[in-house]
Amino acid sequence: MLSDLKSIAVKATPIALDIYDQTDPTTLLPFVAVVVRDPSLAEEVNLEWAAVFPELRKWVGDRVAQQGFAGKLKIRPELFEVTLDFDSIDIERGTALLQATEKATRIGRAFAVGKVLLAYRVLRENQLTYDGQDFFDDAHQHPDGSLASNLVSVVRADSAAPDVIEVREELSAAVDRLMANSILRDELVRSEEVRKGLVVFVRSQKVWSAYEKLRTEKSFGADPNLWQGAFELVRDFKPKAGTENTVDIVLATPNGPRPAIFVVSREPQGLKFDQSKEFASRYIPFGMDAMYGVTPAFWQTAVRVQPT
Amino acid sequence: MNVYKIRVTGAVLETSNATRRVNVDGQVLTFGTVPVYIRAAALPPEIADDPCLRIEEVQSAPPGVEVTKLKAERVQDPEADVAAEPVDKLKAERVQEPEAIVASAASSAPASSGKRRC
Repeated sequence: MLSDLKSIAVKATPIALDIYDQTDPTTLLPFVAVVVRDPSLAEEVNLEWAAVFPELRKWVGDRVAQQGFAGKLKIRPELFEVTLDFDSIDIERGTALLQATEKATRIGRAFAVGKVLLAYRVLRENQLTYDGQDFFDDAHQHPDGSLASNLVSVVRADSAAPDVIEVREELSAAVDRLMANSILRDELVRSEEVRKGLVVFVRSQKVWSAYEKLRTEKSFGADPNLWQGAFELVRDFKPKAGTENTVDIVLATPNGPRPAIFVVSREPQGLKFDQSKEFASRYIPFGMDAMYGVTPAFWQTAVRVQPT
Repeated sequence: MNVYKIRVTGAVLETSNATRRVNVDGQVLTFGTVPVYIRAAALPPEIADDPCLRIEEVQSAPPGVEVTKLKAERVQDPEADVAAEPVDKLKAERVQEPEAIVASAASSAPASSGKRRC
């Protein structure tokens, strides 16, 4: 039976990993987070390098390495698992692979959904960033000491049910703030850089409806809709109390150096049976584990729209 | 008027800056490991509801320590003009009803609501 279990786990593993890699939630992750694969078993991963944004300096007779302005970004990865009961009767019946395939699919999907939600918690729970402020806060500080806010207050006739004109205005205000906040040094910013790759997170049906209209309509009367297809729209169905009408807008940087979230990942290696339980019960624990660590990164790349 | 001793919690100390700024009506107060003393009838919600701050009500600040004074917008306190200690004037968001002041003074301790976590 031991060899049966190993053989089943080996055959089902690619199914779980394929689902994990390709399923929809995981494909959203690179838009809002940089995932650093770290196979080491260190308790803490230091991402100091991630906060270095080099600046051109005049040669003064020596080389001086530039330091990250955000200090040390530390992440402590933790162990996560998904385990299901595998009915060993199926081994005798010869239908074990069918059960394993079905369970592998569910385990792979649970990992994909879970990993994205771990990262999204930074926005949902408004976690602390490196500067000691909440991720969305009105008292952030730039490297040059100036204060900045990534909260955008907007006025809606009905704060719970904006119309499409209102959401168009608030998206413009958000982009304006993203442009201002994303300047860490003295630099020129192209509007196109900010407008490409926006991910909008909404938390109620009515707010979603207005943003979805803005995302899909070709025009509003005689005005062409310049926001058509210009952003990804994502709905959070379990928002934190009090944030239902807010909208988070993240400047997606799939290949950029300044993500809103960092994820350190020690990826799952494959499905396993808990063989210590092999003879204890008809049901044998069957699952997969991995290590993930998440930290809020650069608040400059996200804004929260707060209606009044 | 009450005196509050305010420091940041361990969660903030783990961040790179180890400080936390709070914006009270446009004025930014910075808190860290060293306690900041604030004199106010009641703390504004920006401070009182912040789960990342450890707030204690004390009898008075240690001698020589600067006390920041928070003052309600329209309620004038005659004693404020003759305060001996150097103060930074800040305005609270709303005028506090006298009953509310008494009530909040009575239940003064750390005013975190418990709904948010730091």
